[in-house]
Amino acid sequence: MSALGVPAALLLGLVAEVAGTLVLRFTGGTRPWFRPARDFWRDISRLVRRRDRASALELVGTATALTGAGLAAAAAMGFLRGSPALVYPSLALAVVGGHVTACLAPGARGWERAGRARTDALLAEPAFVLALGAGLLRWGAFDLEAIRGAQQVLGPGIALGPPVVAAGLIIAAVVALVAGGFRLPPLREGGGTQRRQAGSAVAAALCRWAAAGATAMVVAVLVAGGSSLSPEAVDPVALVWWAAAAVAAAFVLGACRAAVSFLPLRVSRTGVAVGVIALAAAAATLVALG
Amino acid sequence: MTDLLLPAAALGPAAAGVVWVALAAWRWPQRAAGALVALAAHAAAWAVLWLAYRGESPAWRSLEATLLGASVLVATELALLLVALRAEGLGRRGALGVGAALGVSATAVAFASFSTSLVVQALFLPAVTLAAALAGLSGTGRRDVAGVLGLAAADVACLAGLAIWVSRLGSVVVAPTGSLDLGGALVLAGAAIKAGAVPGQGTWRLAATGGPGAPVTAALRGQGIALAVLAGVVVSGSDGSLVVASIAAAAGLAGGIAAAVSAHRGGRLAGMAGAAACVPFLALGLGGAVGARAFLLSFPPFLLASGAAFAAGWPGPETVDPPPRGEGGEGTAGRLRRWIGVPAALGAVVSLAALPGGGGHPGAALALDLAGVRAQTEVLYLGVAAALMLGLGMAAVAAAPVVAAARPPIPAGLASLVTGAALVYMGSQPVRLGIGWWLRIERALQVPGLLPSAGAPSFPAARGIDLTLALVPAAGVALLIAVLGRGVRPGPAEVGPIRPPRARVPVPASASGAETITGRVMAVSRRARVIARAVAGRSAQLRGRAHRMALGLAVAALLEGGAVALSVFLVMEGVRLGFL
Repeated sequence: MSALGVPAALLLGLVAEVAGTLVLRFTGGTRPWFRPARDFWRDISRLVRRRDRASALELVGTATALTGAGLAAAAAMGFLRGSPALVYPSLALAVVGGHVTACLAPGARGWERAGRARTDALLAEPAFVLALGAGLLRWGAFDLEAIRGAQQVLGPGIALGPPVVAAGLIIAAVVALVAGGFRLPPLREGGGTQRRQAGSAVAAALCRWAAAGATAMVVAVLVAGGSSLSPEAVDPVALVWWAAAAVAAAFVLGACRAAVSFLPLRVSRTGVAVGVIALAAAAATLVALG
Repeated sequence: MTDLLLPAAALGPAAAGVVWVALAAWRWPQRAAGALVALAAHAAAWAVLWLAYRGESPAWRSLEATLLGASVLVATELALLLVALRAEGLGRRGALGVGAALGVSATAVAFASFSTSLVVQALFLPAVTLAAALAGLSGTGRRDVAGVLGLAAADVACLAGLAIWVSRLGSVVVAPTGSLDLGGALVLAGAAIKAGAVPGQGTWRLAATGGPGAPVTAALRGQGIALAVLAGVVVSGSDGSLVVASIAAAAGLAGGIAAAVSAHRGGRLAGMAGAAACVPFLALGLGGAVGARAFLLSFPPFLLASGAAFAAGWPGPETVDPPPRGEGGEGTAGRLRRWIGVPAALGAVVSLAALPGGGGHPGAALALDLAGVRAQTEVLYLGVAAALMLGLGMAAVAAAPVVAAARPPIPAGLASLVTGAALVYMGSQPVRLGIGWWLRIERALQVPGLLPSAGAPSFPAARGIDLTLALVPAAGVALLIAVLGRGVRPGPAEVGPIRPPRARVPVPASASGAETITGRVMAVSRRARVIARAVAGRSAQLRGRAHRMALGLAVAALLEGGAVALSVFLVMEGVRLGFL
């Protein structure tokens, strides 16, 4: 059953990409909201028709990234042990695989962007871990299974008092999603009429979607609990809460990632990272105080 | 026959080093004879391990082979064999220095692993530092011996710790004290520097260089682990300490940050190995039966993976890549190096960073789970777990371009590919492979048994079937992309630099004025940058002057002299207590 993690993460990752395109469209962009799916389909058909292949390096990176995302997603769905000692390294594996896929020869289109995406990922990592830690601190547990169980009994975390703690949890979840968006590997540059390696573009998109989807699924467990999908332990109500939260988290992740592109160039990425870390620390403090 | 195995395992590596130096004038005989003697010594180490596994304890003079000691030696020697494959790229003089240093160091590690006498431990302790320094000096300059000052300080700390034990126990025989005392803390601190866990010091700095001193770091890591076994498991009885756990986690976080900010491949590898080195020390700090088991699970993959990562990803003294001739047209050998290097480096990095599927994951996950369980009563443990996870995660992300750029020589690449695959197997089947091994060691160490009712973390975090079920669809998708494109294209002959050039940001006119909040913030930040640049410039000037005066080397020589004097003192103390 844990093999379901990969398709689930990819699907939610597509939702995150669509959310990003929607944000861009609402703020004056002209591209259609379904552009990520359309570009992916076009890349697939070009891959088949023109044999526009991916490189071995990209395929190895893609397999690694999807394995990591699949493990994290399976743990979020309850098919695997939900220990953070498994979940966080799995998410890190997804990101590492994606950035290996994104490595390009110097001078190739987008190679500088790939390097900057790695720097962004490194800057976002502390905030991401701090935010996940705040989520764990909220439930006083080091296991997603225990967190799910607590919310099955008490209700979803975002609606559970005291208000200070709920606010801390919501801030932590948002910070985890923002930082999770920063950690994502980049897509290949050049769409529409511009020429790009179709196989490479497919590989890069899959890595990015998988990492985004797995992140959203894990954050959804922290804020809405959910139910193990094992046949003997399914709780439909909790499951619906979790699924809705996962889709919402994917939307927030994609929207935040797109919103970052509006930041003026002169705003330092390090400054933004420090701000996000401060927010995560504030969330952890709120949770601890409550 | 079995009486000869222990001396062969202990002295064989040094003999290989002597043969390597003696036949320096004849290249192929040197290679053949050196490799033959080294492999024979390694085979003897495996035989000793097998005997210890069967419950026999081969002994020779003050050496006694335990299963734990033999395991440390075998893992270290495997790492040394891996890094030795990169020695040929260091030039004739460098290769000569590295071969001799690796042989002598392996013998010193063997004595550290098997000796039951604190005097013998003291006698062989400075040997690895001296070997690393001499190997470094066979390179192009003093830059190749960076970190020797820290190593000398580590020797002094360890010897001071041993001296405290001798005076406390009134004997030179290694014996459990049941707690982590000052002597144990000093030995552990020295062991951490030698294992490369302390950022910017000792083995860490040496590993980041491109000279002949860098391969000897594999031996230093082995010695560090042998000393950690002595102080953290054998003498202190896996007592554990929150302070040790906190320091290990902080060092792991610092390792991740150092790897992230490093602009060189060597620096990123050193940071990665440094963060990974903190996992065994964290396990020792957590202590108890689960902590001891986490230590046992984490040190062999650490030693092997750091060797494999070095063999596959170390940039070496010069660029090993030939200049690219058009896109992907760098010849069959170049393509082969790429095909082998990337998966080999990936396997090693995944194991070092304790990512799922890697050999380091089961031990690290067990240690982190234990910290998580303890966090329910002491919230500081949550910080400990988070710091180590963050350090390992940052180091892993920072290593992505190192993996993509791995182009090792074919023999080294093949060896590290096989090691990487073995590590992945170890990571997916830890119980099947290791349960008999660690239960025997725990019984010998008299570690308290684990009761199911104690609420200890379950192990492993992800079983082999779970990893396979996640890997199959992922590999299937990658395969599908290859099938749809009817093949794969050659990857880039080289990848971009570790750190991308900064984007040129136009400074708006309004930012120069102090009338807006942004303007004020930017002005303050500009002033801070000017001050920081001035401080950095002055510091670089001072460091340059110290380098010209060989101040570091002189202090290191003084410290090492102190270490040798401490060894002599311990020998005299041993003679007084009846060592001879």
